[in-house]
Formats: sequence, structure tokens, C-alpha cells
Amino acid sequence: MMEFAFYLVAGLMLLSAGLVAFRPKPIESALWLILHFFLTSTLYVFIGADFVAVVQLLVYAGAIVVLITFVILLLNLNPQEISGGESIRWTSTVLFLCSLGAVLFCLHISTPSLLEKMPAPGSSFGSIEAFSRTMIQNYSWSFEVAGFLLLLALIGVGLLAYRRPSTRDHSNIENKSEAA
Amino acid sequence: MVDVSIAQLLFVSFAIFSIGAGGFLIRKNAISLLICLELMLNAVNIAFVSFSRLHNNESGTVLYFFVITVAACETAVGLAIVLNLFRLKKNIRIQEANALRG
Amino acid sequence: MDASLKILSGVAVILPLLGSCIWFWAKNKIGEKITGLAATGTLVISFICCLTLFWQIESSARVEFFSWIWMGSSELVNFSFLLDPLSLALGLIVTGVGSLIHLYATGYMHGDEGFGRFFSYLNLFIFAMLMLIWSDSMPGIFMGWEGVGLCSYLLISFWFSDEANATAGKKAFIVNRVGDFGFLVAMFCIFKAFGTLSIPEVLAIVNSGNLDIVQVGWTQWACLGLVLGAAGKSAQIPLYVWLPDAMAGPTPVSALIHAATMVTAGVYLCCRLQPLFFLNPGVMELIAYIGGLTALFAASIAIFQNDIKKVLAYSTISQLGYMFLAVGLAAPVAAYFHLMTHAFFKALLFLGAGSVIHGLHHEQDMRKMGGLRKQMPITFWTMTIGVLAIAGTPPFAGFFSKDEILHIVSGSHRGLLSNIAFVTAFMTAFYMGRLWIMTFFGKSRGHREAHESPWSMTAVLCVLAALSAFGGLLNWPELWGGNAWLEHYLGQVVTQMDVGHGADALEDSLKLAGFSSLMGLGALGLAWWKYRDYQTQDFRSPAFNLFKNKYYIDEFYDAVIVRNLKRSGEFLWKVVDQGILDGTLNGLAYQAKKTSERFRRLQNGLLQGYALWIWLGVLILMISAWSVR
Repeated sequence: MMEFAFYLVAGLMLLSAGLVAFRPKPIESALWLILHFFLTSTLYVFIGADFVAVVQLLVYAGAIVVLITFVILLLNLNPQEISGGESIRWTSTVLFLCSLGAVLFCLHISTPSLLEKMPAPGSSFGSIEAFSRTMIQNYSWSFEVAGFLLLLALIGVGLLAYRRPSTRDHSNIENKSEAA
Repeated sequence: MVDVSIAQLLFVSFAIFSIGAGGFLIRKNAISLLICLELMLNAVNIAFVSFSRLHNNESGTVLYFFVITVAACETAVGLAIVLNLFRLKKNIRIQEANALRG
Repeated sequence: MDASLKILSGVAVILPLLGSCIWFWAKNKIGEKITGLAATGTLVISFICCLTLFWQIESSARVEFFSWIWMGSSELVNFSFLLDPLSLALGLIVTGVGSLIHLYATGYMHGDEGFGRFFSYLNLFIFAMLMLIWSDSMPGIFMGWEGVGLCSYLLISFWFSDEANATAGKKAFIVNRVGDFGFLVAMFCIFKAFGTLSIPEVLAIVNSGNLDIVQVGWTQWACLGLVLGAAGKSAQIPLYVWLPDAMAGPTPVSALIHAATMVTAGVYLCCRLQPLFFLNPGVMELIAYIGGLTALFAASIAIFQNDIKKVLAYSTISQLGYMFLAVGLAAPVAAYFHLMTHAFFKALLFLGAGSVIHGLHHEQDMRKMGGLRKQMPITFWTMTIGVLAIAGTPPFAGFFSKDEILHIVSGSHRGLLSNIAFVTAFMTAFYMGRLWIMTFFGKSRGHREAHESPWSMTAVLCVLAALSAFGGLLNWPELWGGNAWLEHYLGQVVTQMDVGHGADALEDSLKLAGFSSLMGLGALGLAWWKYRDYQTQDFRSPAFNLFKNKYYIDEFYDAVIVRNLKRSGEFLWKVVDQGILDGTLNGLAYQAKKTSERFRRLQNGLLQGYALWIWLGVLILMISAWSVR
């Protein structure tokens, strides 16, 4: 039964991923991405990583996708700007997928032990306590650096998005870039 | 909890990663590229958490945590860049952002 | 004692250098009078220093200044002076005659726009010359050697706005380079043979006699190189061609550099390294023959020259040939004696000629002179002494020195050389008589009113005339009851061939002296008979064209060496450089450009294209990681 649920979730994940990647409109992609993240969260629950499942929902579905959606709305693109004439490099994509398949195949034949069922985890696996113990004890320095990275990203985004009050009109800039 | 093999989880991860990468290669507008990037990062996360489960070791989940941090930063900065691209070009076609061509 | 020597020799060398820098920097800003007098003053101080050194030093002294070239902890060359009779005597001549000529030049160069520059070069020359003769190591000598070469070049082409002067300077410089090559080779060979470049050490090793056959072999090459170097600097066959052209420079320069001092550097070098030459009798023989041939050759050209300075230039070459002859016959004292007297009377003759040229507003052609006896009495009388001295008339200086060389040549039992020496002596007297008569006697031929030169020039002429007249007393032969001072003085460091003692030798030498002075007077008489009422006639015969055109040596060098050098240079330039080297490089650059044109298309600026490349790279990594597993 649970096995079936796993295959169902995994299949839906692949399906939603395909829709995310190939729907023409970005807004559709973003919505399918939310579904995909929910399914991913389910998968994490299946393998016992409860805390990760919650974080997945909160951070990814709750924050990142919302941000993307917000920007799409902000840009307010007209439809033919977005879709239409997608440059589908089918040859390169096929090549790419084939090589991935080859890698997987190699992995499969070289290590048969990968096919064994995973042993049951320790009782505390996936709990907040175990996670935070590892994080604070072993990775405190990396944790600080990650925080600093977020700060830098904040400043960078502020600088990038900042619009100078002097009204440099777009046509001027556009001409310049054309000339360049 | 479900009894699965690591190979199954890795297959899911690889498949999602390839779909994301394929999308990255063929999509035309910059926001779609960012979304595909999220997809790829998510696939990598699945692999991390799976290995964490396999080895009964929390380090994999810690790595997951760092990956989403980086993903958040990347999305924010990427969107800001897209915003500027839009201001400059009046569209977000990635093919037109080729000022660095040789 | 040592400190005072250090100070004296240091001052003597540094002052001219300092002066040179100042005059060069100041150009003409500080006025002619001050520049000229100060430049002469520095030389006088140098001269006084030399004199003091001369009195203070008994035989020889070595003054060390600082370590100059070293390798790790072992010293290779020490910057130091070797003050012995050879170098002190020449140092006295250089600074003494040098200061006289400086004084003369203040009058001669009056009003020239390059006045300051001229004295700067002149002082620099004195500095370099003192370095040359005082240094006790080969590199030190070489530095001076190159320094005088440089000054010679600068001063020959002093009036460089005239193309001919600049060309003459270049010619002198380039011909001297050939000699310098020989000097360098000699230096390398000496270092190879003895492991040191310090001359006292080299001579000590040679004099100790503990030489193996390999070292002697190296010294042979060293001596050959030195002969080439000396021939270049002292204008001997085959490198004499630059000296006649060097007359393009101002006359004081010709007197100082190209008659009295620099051109004798070769003679000095051969005397300095005499023990080295004693090891190679063949090379000595070569020197003797080079000297003899040069003497004859140059004298025969001098007879047919019409430019007063050219006559003196060829005369200088000829007299230098005499010195080499003496050096080659192992008679360095005779060579040195002739060097000193020659410095006096040739400087006198050049300065006298300069006075004439100055008086005639830069007219150098003797055919347009004549009858200057009355108009320039002081110049005339002093020149007369110079002419008599060089012609070997007793009791003037040239008589003694030339007679000594003749004596040695005839005592050496080399028939050809002694014939050459006597014929050359005859020719010398003849062409000097020709010069003297054409300039001062007969009627005036087409020049404007001449005037006597200012006191600064005539005074110098008088001093030099006195030196030319009495310079022979320096080495009054013992055979004739003299004390042969110079011979004893120089005998401390060089070995002179013995010419015999006793009544027989006295009779021989008196016969010889009588014969040579009669010959000189005869030649003067012949010249008088031939040129007394000279109008515009000269020898007219096709055979004389050979002499007139200086044996076509310049043309020969031009055809054989210069043209071929130019042609090979052209070949190297057009074919090798532009064709092969540039072609290869340009071709490479062109191909690189073509290739990069093709490769730059990869850099298409498309984000997804780059992503694909990244993916390919990852794929290769994965495959290789899997395959090496």
C-alpha cells in the first residue's frame, strides 16, 4: 500500500516537474512548482525526514515561489513576449537526457547494493533536536557564513533593484546598449 | 515510513534534475529559467536527504538547509537582475542578454 | 705615504672628470674665459699631482681604491692604479701636453658656439686616458681604452653639422671597434691562461717562468689580440685608415688625441705587457714588420698630400710605425723615448699648423698658403724647430729618439727593416721640408691677409718648441757621455735590447748618427730645391697617382669590406629579418588571429549555450571518474 503511495507521489512529481519546465507561461510554471514542492514534501515525510518536509513547505512553497509569482505579476508581460517561438533545442535536450540515462545505467550496473531496501533509521532521525544538534555542533561556522550570505544577498538585491531618482528615460539607455 | 531503495529515490532525483536542466536549456524567458533552476536545486535536495536517511546521518539534512539558503539568495538576486534586464530591454528574452558575446 | 699617493692620484683622475661634467652641464653659461681657464686649471692641478707622484715614487707603487668586480667572495678585479715609471712618464706627458693644449684651445676655439662642450670632451678625454695608463687591470685599461675611443669619436665629429665630420667620426669609431675586439679577445685569453686580470699578477706569473705549454699557447692568442687592438688604437696597418679622416676634428684635438696621447696607447700597452710578448717571439717579429711597413707606407703617402693636417696625420702614422718597430725589436725604451719626443714635436707641429689654419681663417690647403714667414713669425720659428726635430737634425729631440731606433734596427741584423727605417727617415725629412717650405716660403698664393695668433696659442708653441729642442736630453746616450736617464728610469720595469758598449759601438753609433743627420739635411735640401718657387706644380706622372690616392686603400676597403658588409646587411635585413623572421612571426600571428576568429564564435553570449558546455564538461568528468574506478 505504502509502496503504491510512493510510486504515485513519485509519478506525480515527475509529471508536475515536466509541467513546470515546459508550460509556456511563467505563471503556470510557478503554480505547478507549488504543487511540485508539496509533493516533494510528501516524499520527505515518506522517508522520515519530518523537519525537512516542514521547512520545504514553509521556505520553498511559502517564500520562494511567492516571490517568483510576485515578480511575474510586477513585470506584467504581454503574452507574446513570454511565450511564442520557444527556441527548443531538441537535439541538445535529447543528447542531454540520453547521457543522463547512460549515467544512471552505469550507476545501476556498477553498484547492485543500491537496490537494497534502506535500513530503518535511528529513532531520532528527522527530528528537530537531532538536526539542530548536528547543525550547531558541527556546522556552526558554515551556519554563520550562510547567514552572512543572506545578508549580502539582501544588500545586493537592494542595490540592483534601486532605481535612481533622476529620470533617465529608457529610450536613452536602450540606444546606448544598442550602440554597445 | 516507506520501504524504498536508495536507487528509487535517486532515480526520482535524477529525473527531476534532468527535466529541470532540459527546461533550462530550451526555455526562452528569464523567469522560466529561474524556475527551472529551482527545480534542479530541489532535485539535488532530494538526493541529499535520501543519502542522509541511508546513512542515518543528519549532515545531509544540514546540507539541504544550506542549499535552500543559497537557493533563496539566488532567486532574490536573479529576480532583481531580471527586473533590471526588463528595465533595460523592455522584455526578458534571455537571448537578447548577450552583451558578452565574443 | 700610501694615503697621500691615493689622494694625489685620485685627485689627478677625478678633477678632469668633474670638470667635464661641469662644463657639459654649464654649456656656455659661465663664459668662455672662465671655462677655458678653469679647464686648463684642472689639468694643471692634475699635472702637479703627477709631478708630485713622480717625485714621491721611487720605482713603483700600487694604489688600491676599491673592489670593483667580484664573484661571491673571491675578488676578480680591484680598482687600483699601478704607478710605475711607464705609467708615470706617460701620465706626465698626458697631463703636461694636455694642459698646454687646453691653454692653446682657449685661443683656438674662441667664439665657437660649442666652446663648453669642447672643453667638456677634452677633460673627459684626459680622465679616460689617465684611467687607461694608470689602471693595473685589463678591465680598467679597457674602460679607459673605450673612453678615449668615445672622446675621439665625439671630438672628431665635434662640428657634427657637417656630414663629412660626422662620417669621419663614425669611421674612426667603427675601425677602432675592430681593434677593441682584439683587445677583448686578449683579455679573455689572459684570464683563461692565468685566472686573473690584474696586470702585476699576470706579469709576476710570467716572470716566475712557471708556465706550462697551454698557458703559453693562450698568451700567443692574447698577444695577437693585443696587436690587433694596438694597431686599431695606434693606427697601424691594417687599421690605420681612420686617422687621416680624424683630421676633421678641431686642430687641438688632432694635436692632443691623434698625435700626442691616445694613438700612443697601443705602444704603451705593448710596453706594459712586454714579458707576455717576450714569450712569443713570432708576434714580436710581426709587430716589428707591421711597424716598419706602416712607417714606410704612411711616409710615402704623406709626400703627396696637400692638406697640411693630412700630411701631419700620415706623418703621425709613420712615426707610430717607428715606435712599433722599436717595440717589436724588444726596445721599449727607444719606443718610449720616441713616444715622448714625438708627443712634443708632433703636438708642436699640429698646433703650429692649427695656428696657420687659424690665421688663414680655416684654410688647410698648402697650395693656397706660402710666404707666411713674415706674417706669422712666432709660428714660423717654432714650426721650424718642430720640422728640424722630426727630420732628425741634431741636436733636436727627434734626432736622439729616431737615431736610437735606427741604431737598434741596424743592430738587429734585419736588412729589410733597416732599409725601410732609413728610407722612411729620408722621406720624413722630405715631406716635412715640403710642408714647411710650401707654407712659409715663396710667394703668397691666393690667401687673404694672415695674422699672427693670440698669445695663448703662441706661448704654447714656444713651450713646446723648447721641449722639442731639448727633449733629447732626457735620454742622452751613455755612449756619448750622457747618463741615459730615461733608460735607467724605465729600465726598472722593462727590458731593453742591448746595443753594445765600448769604442766600436761608439764609432758605429757616431757613424750612424752622422749618416742619418746628413740624410735628413739632404732630404730637406731636396725639398728646398723642389718646392722653393712652388706655384701650383707638383709631381705629374701617372705613377704618382697611386701615392696621391693613398694606394687606393680606402677604395679597397670600401669594395672588399664595406660593400660586402652592406650587402650582407641588406640580405639579413630584407630576406632574413623581413622575410623569414618577420614572416614567421606575422604568419603565426595571422594564423592565431584566424583560429581565434573561429573560436570566438563559441563565446556567443547565450546563457543556455554556456550551460550546455558546462553540462558536457560534467559529463566528461563523470565518465572519466567512472572509467578509472
